[in-house]
Formats: sequence, C-alpha cells, structure tokens
Amino acid sequence: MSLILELAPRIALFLVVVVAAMPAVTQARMLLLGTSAFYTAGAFASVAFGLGVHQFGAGSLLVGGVAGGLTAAFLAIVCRNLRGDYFALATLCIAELLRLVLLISPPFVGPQGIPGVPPGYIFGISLASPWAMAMACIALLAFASALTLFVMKAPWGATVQATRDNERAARTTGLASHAIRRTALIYAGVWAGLSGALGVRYLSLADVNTFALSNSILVLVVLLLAARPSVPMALIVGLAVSTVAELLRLVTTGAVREIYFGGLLLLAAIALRGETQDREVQPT
Amino acid sequence: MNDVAQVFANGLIAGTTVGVLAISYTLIYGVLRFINFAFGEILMLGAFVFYLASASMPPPIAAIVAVSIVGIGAAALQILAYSPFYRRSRLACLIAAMGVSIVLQNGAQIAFAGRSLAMPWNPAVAPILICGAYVTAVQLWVGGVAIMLMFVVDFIVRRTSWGLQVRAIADHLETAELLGLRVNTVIASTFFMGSCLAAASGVLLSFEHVLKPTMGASPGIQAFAACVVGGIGSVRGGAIAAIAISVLGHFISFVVPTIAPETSAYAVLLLALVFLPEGVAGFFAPRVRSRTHDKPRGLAASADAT
Repeated sequence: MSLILELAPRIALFLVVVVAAMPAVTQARMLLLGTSAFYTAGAFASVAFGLGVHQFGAGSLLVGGVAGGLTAAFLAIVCRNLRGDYFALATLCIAELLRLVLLISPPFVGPQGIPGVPPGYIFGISLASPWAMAMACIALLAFASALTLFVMKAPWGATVQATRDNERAARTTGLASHAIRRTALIYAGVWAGLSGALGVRYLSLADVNTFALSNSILVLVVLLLAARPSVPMALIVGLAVSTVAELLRLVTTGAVREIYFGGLLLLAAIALRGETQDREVQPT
Repeated sequence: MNDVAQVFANGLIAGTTVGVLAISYTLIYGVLRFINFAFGEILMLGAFVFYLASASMPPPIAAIVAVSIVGIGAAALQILAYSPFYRRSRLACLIAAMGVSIVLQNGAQIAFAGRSLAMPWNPAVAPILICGAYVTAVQLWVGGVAIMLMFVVDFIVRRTSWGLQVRAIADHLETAELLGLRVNTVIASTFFMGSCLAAASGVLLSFEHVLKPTMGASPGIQAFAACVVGGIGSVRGGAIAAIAISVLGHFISFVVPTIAPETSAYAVLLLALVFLPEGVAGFFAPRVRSRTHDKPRGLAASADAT
C-alpha cells in the first residue's frame, strides 16, 4: 500500500501533463518538447509565491498554473511560425534555457533547488498525509481529464484539429490558426503549471531536474504511442509507460531508466512513420 | 588584452573540433533532411574507443582504428535505426535519432560505470605565446587536424563524383533515383562519412578533455546550432558558424562565468530557428528566389554558390 501511495501522486501528476498536452500534440500535431518548462515555471512560481505570503494554499497552486500558462504563451509567441522538427527543437531550447537559467539564478539557490516546501492545504484540507496528497493529485488528474475530454469534443477541439489537417485551408475559412495553436499551448501550460505546483508540495523540493527534458520526451512519446486523440487511450498508455518508469526508478540505476525512454522513442518513431512531412516555417 | 586573446584562442581551437562535428550534422541533414541527434554520442564513442585503442598502439594508429571502428559501427546502427523512416517521415527520423542518442549515452554510462577517464599519455609541453595567447603544441595539432578535415570534406563534397551524387540526392532524392543513382548506397556512405567525422571530432576532443558518457552533449548542441546558423546543408557555413559560436560562447563564459558555452549555444540555436531558419546565407539571399519551391537546397545550394 505504501508503494501505491508513493507512486500514485507521481504518476497522476505526470498524467495531468500528458492529458493537458493532448490538444496541442495530438490534435494540432505540435511536437512539443517544452512541457518541462511549463512544469518547472509552475513549480518555482508557486514556491516563490508560497514563501512570499507564508501560505501554501489554493492561491499558490493557481499562481503555478498562471506561471505555466504564461510560459506557454511566451513559447507560443516565439515559435509562432515554426512547424515540425523546428518547432520541437525550439521548444526544447526554451525548456533547456529555462532550466539552465534557473540553475544559475541566486534566488533559486542553484542545483540544490528549494528544499523543505511544506505540503500545505487546499480548501482547508491539509495535504500532510500521504492519502490526502494522493487524493489531491488524483482529483487534479480527474479534473484535467474531464475538461480535456470536453474541450476536445467541443467546437474548439474541431478548430484545433482543422489547423492540423490543413492550416492554409483553415486560415482561408477565417480560423485564426496562430491564436488556436497558442490557446492549445496555454491550455497545456496551465495544467502542467498546476501539476508542478502540486508536485513540489508532494516532493517537498523545487528542483529543475524533477521534471526535465527526459520527462518532456516521455510526455511526447506517450501521446505519439496513444496515436489517436482519445483521452482514455492516452491515460492507458501513460499509465503503463509511467508505471514501468517509476518502478525502474525504484529498482535500477537512472541509466537503465533512460535506456527504457530511448526504446520508447524508437517505438514512437515507428508509430509516427505514417505522418506526412511538415514544413519548418509557415509562410506568412 | 591578453585575456581577450587567450579566450579567443581557446574558443577558436574548441570551435575547430565542433566544426568537424557540425559538418557531420550538415551532411546528413543535407541528404535526408533530418537532424541526427546521435552524432554527439558518436563523438563520445570515438573518444572512448580511442582511449581503449591507445593503450596498445601508437596514438596516430589508435586514432585511425577508433575512427574506422566507430564509423562502421555507427553507420550500420543508424542505417538500421533510421532506414524504415527516412523516406516516410523526417519527424519519425528525429524521434528515432533522439532514441538512439539516449540509448548510446546511457549504454556508455553503464559500460564505463559512469567513470570519467583522461588520456594517460597527455604530454605536458610548455605553451607557446602566439599574439598574446598561450597555446600548447597539442592544441595546435588538434586545431590543424580539424581544419584539414574540414577542407578535405569540403573538397570531397564539391569536387568528387561521390560529392556530386550526394548533392544530387540532397537536391531531389526521387529524381536522383530515377536517373539511376544508387541512392541507398550513397546514403549509407554519407552516414559512414558523417559518423567518421563525429568520431574524429571525439578523438580530437579527447586530447584536452576528460572522457565521460555525457561529453557529446555540449559539442553536439553547439554543432547543431552552427549547422542551422551556417545554413543547413552548407559545409563551409557550418564550419565557420561553429568556430564563431564557440568563440562567442567562450567570451560569454569569460564575462559571465556561470554561463556555460552550452547555454549560449541553446540561445543561438533558438534565435537561429526563429529568425534565421535558412541560415545566414538564406537571410541574405534574394527574397523572390528563396520563396520558389524548386530552388536547390542544402548541399546542392551551397555548391551552386561557388
């Protein structure tokens, strides 16, 4: 039981990021490698706010979500005209730059991160017990999944899909493709920021390496392996992939776990091979 | 003033080895239009195999053996890993390359138990003062060999029959195949050449750096940034940009010591992807021509420019 209570929050928080990235990755086919930036921005902003007001309540979670969303908006603006592999690389660069800048920024202590983050409380309920923390993470996942399911079925989901299927045609019919793509990214950013804000409370540590590039890659891999824009499918694949990853974390070295990620990437490449070629730059 | 000269010299010498790696990236991107992330790890393998080989043979022979072994092995591995994808989706190739890169890096981590190694015979030679900068004989050798390699590859791509075939495939793969070129053979040989160059870059780096499984990451990102800035597919552009980025990174690290050259390379890469997706040469190219669909691209375009 203690193993389940240890793994459940980690897996649930990872799945929140996966599910929230679905409109951007699966529907709009943006190869997003910057989810670690959203998560990290949310985590650090939430801790900075919590330490500032000496309170780790729902407010600091919301600050995390807003920080994740703002990071996503910045990423969307910078990568506005990029598509395909260029988009993937630019988002990777932004995430790595944020990580490297946080590593050398004095307010954030450096490689050790910020230790001793309290679990805090939400709506008056303390998250100090493992059960409460696990339930909070699972509730966040449930909200994220339900809302993602709703928005993907809603007309907005169809417009996101349209920008992927034929962006030129979508723009011709009056859809603001850049704004739609930006909204999809911000949606992913807000949830990843919330996940980061809750993640630091679970781990009692704000650290740039908690959710780094390999986790961003894993998010992308899960969505590519899930193949269809289906929330249940993404949850099933994500659960399988992340459970194995977490078990490997417990029983082997980090290198074996990374090789597992590498193998998953090769599987994802096989899943992707039917894709059409993307342009690097959208003609303006 | 001496500090400036020293930083410039260090950046220049480091840039030459990165330049060799940048040519590896550019060759593969020119032909197949995908970014082979695994070259950083092939560099690392080149350095480690050189370390092992140099224990039982003279360094020049060990270098040739290391480059040959890693070149053949890496080319075979990559052809196996990428050949199902490169005619269908370059995004799949990119994802596969990331996978190969992670597997190679962490495989080396396990094989060498995460240890850092250093060349046992690194000679302690008194440095020479050149234009206010102290440079060792080893650094001069490393820089000289790297520059020679760049000229040789540039000559091969521009002046030999093989280079012409590579440029033809880079220009239009299907047409080249229709005209009777053995496309798969040329692609395999390009992988071999790119892998040999990456391994050679690792051998050169091993003279001055500690060997560790993650040693390919920083040169890899610098080389890729150079590849984009120099105009993807341009051998000369990639080599010159690599040197420029390395010198810039060393100067930034000199002014702000907490900023590693890797950080500068990420920033340059991001700026290049956003503002100069076709490289510096593409930015200055006439606007109308750059918008046409049938213009020669990559290696073919760089050869046309001469």
